[in-house]
Amino acid sequence: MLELPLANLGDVDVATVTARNWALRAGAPKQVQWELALITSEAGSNAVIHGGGGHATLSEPEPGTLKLEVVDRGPGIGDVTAAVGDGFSQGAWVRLGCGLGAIQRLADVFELRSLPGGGTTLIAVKHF
Amino acid sequence: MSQTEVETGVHEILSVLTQVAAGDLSLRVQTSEAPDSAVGALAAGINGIIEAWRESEVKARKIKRALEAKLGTIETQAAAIRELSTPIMDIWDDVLLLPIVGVLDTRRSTDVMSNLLDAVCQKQCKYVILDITGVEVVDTSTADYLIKVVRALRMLGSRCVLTGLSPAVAQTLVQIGAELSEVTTLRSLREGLRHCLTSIRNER
Repeated sequence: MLELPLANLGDVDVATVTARNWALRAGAPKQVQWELALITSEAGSNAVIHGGGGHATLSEPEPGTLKLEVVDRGPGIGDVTAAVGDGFSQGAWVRLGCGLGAIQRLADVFELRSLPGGGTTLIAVKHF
Repeated sequence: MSQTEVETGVHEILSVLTQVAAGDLSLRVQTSEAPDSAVGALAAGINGIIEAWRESEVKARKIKRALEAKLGTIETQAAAIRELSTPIMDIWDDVLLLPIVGVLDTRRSTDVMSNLLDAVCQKQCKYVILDITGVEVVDTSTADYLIKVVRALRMLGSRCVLTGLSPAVAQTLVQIGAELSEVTTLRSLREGLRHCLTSIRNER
């Protein structure tokens, strides 16, 4: 298990590279390594930009399964279903708004738990 | 030594310890007792401990300052790396090159778009080569965004050549229904540059 801080965008870059190397060491094929890196990058950016920072945890619950969990301290997402649809974005930094949609498409299992005021927990799982 | 003298000594020690505990490490126990008396030895011992504490405190502060300076440097470097992640190069007359390596996510693709459009406007170049040799995978939304960059460039009077597509990226572009008539894609940066130079020569 690997825990990585997500305090600023520099941390997101480090987490992205770490996630990819970790998937490589776990024996995941190239495509899966890069997909996990992409998921980490999107989820990490969200945690820093909208969630006021947090941390990411990488784990391998069983061989061939990679799990990423990102927890932030933000205000939470009001409408999770709307957020996953492309084009949704909140906060001062209005970006593309499809980060969550990308994570959902790239991950095999995707879970987003958010309570207004209680931060957001994102779980993404890749099988190989 | 009378009991009163011992009591005075202990009292003095206690008052110094209270202030030291509150954070004033410059205080020492002042006693008139001889160093070989019980109270004198105790005072000397306590002064030794306070001094050792002060020294370690000074050392810790120094380490903290050094650490903070290092953290500052790391943050500056991280910002520099992010800036370098979308380098735009003037590789030939009328040809701009933007190589992308690593993970192309939502945030980075918007940086690419705005930096590239600014550069194209400024330099008035005819061709832009977007080399994504180092990008293994993109999401469909990012691929869609890349196509939009290509369209925006055309509006500004520049043609965009996409080079170095990985098999997975090519698959994603097809998935989103990107028209090949809209984007020129070539295998390598070398071929991309050759294509641009030939086209420029033919136009003259």
